[in-house]
This record gives sequence, C-alpha cells and structure tokens, in this order.
Amino acid sequence: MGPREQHLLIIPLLTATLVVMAVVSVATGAVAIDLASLPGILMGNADAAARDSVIVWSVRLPRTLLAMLVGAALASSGAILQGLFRNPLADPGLVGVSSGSVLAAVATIVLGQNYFGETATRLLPVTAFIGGLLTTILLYSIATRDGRTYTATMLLGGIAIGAIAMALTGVLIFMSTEQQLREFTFWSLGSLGGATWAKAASVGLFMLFALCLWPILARGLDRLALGEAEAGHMGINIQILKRAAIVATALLTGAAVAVSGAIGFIGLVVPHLLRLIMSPRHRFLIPAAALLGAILLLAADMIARTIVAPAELPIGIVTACLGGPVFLWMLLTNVRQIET
Amino acid sequence: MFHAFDVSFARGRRQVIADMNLELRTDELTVVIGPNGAGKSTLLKLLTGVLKPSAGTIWFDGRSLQQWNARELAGRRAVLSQSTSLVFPFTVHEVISLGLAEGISVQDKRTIIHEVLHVFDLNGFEHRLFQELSGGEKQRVHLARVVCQLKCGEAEKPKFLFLDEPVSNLDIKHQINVLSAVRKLLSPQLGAFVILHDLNLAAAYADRVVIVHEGRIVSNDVMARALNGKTLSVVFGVDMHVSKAGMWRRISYNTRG
Repeated sequence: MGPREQHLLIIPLLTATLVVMAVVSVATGAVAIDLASLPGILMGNADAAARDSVIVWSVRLPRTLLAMLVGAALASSGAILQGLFRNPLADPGLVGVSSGSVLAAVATIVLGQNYFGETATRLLPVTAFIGGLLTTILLYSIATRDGRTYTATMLLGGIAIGAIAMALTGVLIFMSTEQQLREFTFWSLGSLGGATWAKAASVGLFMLFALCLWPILARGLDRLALGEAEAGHMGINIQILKRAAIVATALLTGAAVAVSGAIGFIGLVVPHLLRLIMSPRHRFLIPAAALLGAILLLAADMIARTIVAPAELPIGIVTACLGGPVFLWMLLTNVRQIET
Repeated sequence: MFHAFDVSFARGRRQVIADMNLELRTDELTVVIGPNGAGKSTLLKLLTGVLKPSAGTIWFDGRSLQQWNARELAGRRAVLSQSTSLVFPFTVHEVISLGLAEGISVQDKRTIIHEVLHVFDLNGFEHRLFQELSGGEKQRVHLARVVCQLKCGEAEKPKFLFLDEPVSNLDIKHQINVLSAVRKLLSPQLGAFVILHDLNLAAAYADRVVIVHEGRIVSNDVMARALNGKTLSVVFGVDMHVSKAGMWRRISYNTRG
C-alpha cells in the first residue's frame, strides 16, 4: 500500500467511529440511558423501561440520525463546491448558498405564515431548498464569464449575496412577531432540537438524489482540478459536470439548512482536513467527507445538548467555537499548500 | 486526418487567425514555429476545439470537430496546454491516472502507467506530491498524463497528440528525451502537432514545419525546405543562417542584435 492509499483505511475507520459515536449519542443526554439496556430497547423488548424506550425512539434516534445526515450533507457539499470552484475556501456558508436558504426559510416563517398560516411551515424544506438553488445559480452566473469561472469573483460575489440576504432577513425580522422571531433564532444559529423521523427522512431523500450524481462528480471534479480546458480535453463535459455539482450542492445544503438552520464550518473544514491525510480524489474524498461531517456534527450536537443540560446550546455556536480555531490552525500550518 | 479549411478567428475586431488551411497526418511530427503573438497557440486551441473558428471548419477523421462528443474525442486526441495549474495535493501517480479512460482493466492501467513513467524518466516519482516537483518535473508528469490518455483509445484508430511548448521548462537532456519519446510514439495511427520556440530542436525532430506569422501560415513544408534563412529572417526579424549537411539543418543567428 502506497503512502497515499490511506483511504483504504480511513473510510472503514471513519465508519467504525461513526457507529460508536451514534451509540454513545443515543445513550447520552439529560436522561442517561444504560448502554446494556440499549439493545433491548432497539429490539422492542417489553422488559425495557417504557420511559427509556420513548426517549430513544422519539427523541434520541431521530436526532442522532438527523445530526449524521446534516453533517454528511454539509461536509460533502463543501467537498463538491471546493472541487467545482477549484478553491479550498469554497463553502456553502462562505459562498452565500446557505444564506439564500436561510432567507427563504425566514421568508416562509414570516410571510408564509401571514398568508398561508401553519401549512407554510411544512413547506420549509422545499422553500429553503429552492432558496439555496437560486443563490447557487445566481452566484455561479455572476462568477462565470465566457465559460470561465473566476474564483475571486465567486468569493466576493458570495459575500455580496450573503450581505443582501442578511439585509432582507433583517427586513423580515422587523416584520416578524415574537413567535416568528423565536423561530428565526432557530434558523440563524442552527439547532437539531426539533428532530423528527420525517425531517431525517427528508434529508435522507435529498441525499439519495445527490448520491446519484456522485459518479459524474467523482470523475469530473478530479480532472477539473487541472482546469476547465484540461478537463474538457480529457473527455469531461464541463457543462454537465457544473450543473451536476450545482444541483448536488443545492440539494444537500438546502435540505440541511431547511431542517437545522445555518450550521457553519463543517463544509469548509472537513474536506480540507481530509486532504491533509488522504488522497484528494473525489471518489474517496466525498464519502470520507460525508462520514467525517457526520461524526463531527454528532459530536457537536452531543456537546450542545449536554454542556448546559437540561438547557441546550444552539449547535451553530458549538461548530463555530470548534471550527474557527481548527480552521485557523490549518491556515497557519499549511500556508504553502494553500497558496500553491 | 486533421484538416483545417479556411479557418479564421477574431477576438473582438482583431483578426488573430486568417484563412488557414492545414492538414495534419499520422506518422508525422508537425512542428509549428513563429514569433510571440503569431497565433500558434490560438491555432492549437482551434484544432483541439477549445475555441470555435469565426469562419471555416475543422475536420477530424471524416467528421467535423463539432460532431465529436468530448469522451469519444478524448480517446483520439490528447492536448498539453502551455500552462496547467493543479489545485489540491495530488501525487504524481494520481495526476497521471487522470489521463486514464474509464472502463479499462486494472492490469492495463498498471501497464500503461508503468510504461509512461519509464518513457518520461519518472520512475520513483509515483508517490511524490505533484505540487512539490520542479517546473520541468511537473511538465514531464503532464506529458506522461496526455500520452496515457491516448494509450487508452482504440488501437487501430488514428490519434493525435497536441503539445503547446512541451519543452519550454526542461533542461537540455529532458528536451531531447521528451522530443525523442514523442518521435518514438509516431506510427501510422499516431501523429503529433508540437509548438516549439527552439528552431534547432524543430530542425532536429520535425518531419514537417509550419511557420505562422501575423495570423497566417507563411510556410508549410517538409522540414528541409521550410527552414530556410530567408523566410526565417523575415518572420523573426533577425538575420538567420541555415547550415545544411544532408538532411540535417542547423540554424544560427547573430546574438548581438
């Protein structure tokens, strides 16, 4: 095994870690569940305490699943965006995609509820998804001239779109009621508090759609690392690749933001961290990013719901507290790699 | 095989390429020379489909270039651009593997990679990070990658290699190695189109020389006839002398301006 064939080890290692973390996550919380009784509860054993069974089945399991899916969605969309823009700084948050999703979600909470009542809230995943898709397309067309995507324009455009989205979000806050304001806080800081099986299933469904695009992305993004012209010479249909990447990113980010709000840094840090220890080939990088993203968000969620128990910290605060310093450390130790 | 018919290309109002007619044949190394800004790279971009001609058509193997799909074309012609940047920390082996087509067997992949590593003097470089190589080493890796790409295509079909200044970053030994390797690849199924700046390398390796000046082809002939002092002096604006010894040509010029 060559030194760079570590993906053969890393992917099984990440999978095993994720399984252990998931078990710990189900057992940990304001009410501790005895690990020994967990198999019984999961098998539907009648001997298990009714209270523990309810906690596991209606709170912990959907929440653990949701944390894993959202973390996987954010990290893999970060890996795809970085590959698409050929830039290790691209991230659903930095390039304004998630701000578009948040704006759409907040608009649904405030305007939707005013006009359509409670049914609007059920449309949230759909509107957040559309918001993310529209922002991605807008940003992409701003950054692309004569078939070439300019990365600096993309990052600056992302900042501008983010600012505009934030201003519009501000207007909506101004119009909102107390209740709507509380719901908005949930979006802006991110939380997995309202996890349900339905939410987990909807993210899972979007992830399945995105998964269908993985073969196109894995083959194309590797070659795109050499530039658009070179990728074209190597038989990649650049237009199809870009559209697949945009749709996959919008599906993943849109779905994640819709159910959990804007959770930062996972999409930026995870692919970057992985490229330091494994091959940057997207065939391995995208699934490894999904696994590590799931692990990190699960860990962050455990911290968020236990550190100030029985109260709960918004998860966005935890990921920013952990992700910020890690990102700085990566910048400081890998200046050369980033700049070449 | 590759035919350009009355091809022109304009950028805004500026005519970069005007009424070019050209035929590239397999089993031939066609070298393109000309001063900076003459239109050599633009010609290569037109022939490889990166740019679309504003007038005229380009045909490859009986079909207009527009009728080829990207994947099909990739097995039949490979291109090395003048400058290629790579983001993300790929190893040499991974960069070369990018040239491999989908669906070829693991054994074939191994054989092809082993072969190109040897041809371009890259044995022992497989696991090194591409970003940490010198300019010349990077260039050889890219050459290995594009040759790899052609080796994956159907064996009996005609193929072309397009190289834009492939030896500009290389020391003399590797300039010779690379151009000799390209010559060795020539066959009734494979032709090469190479842009060079060094006229003596053109004289040493070309079968055919195309001289481009101000967007037009001023000469397209076998090497011995194309490289003559009069044409070269006019095109490059420097007094040039061509010494002849049988099939060999040696170009000299006054270095004091």
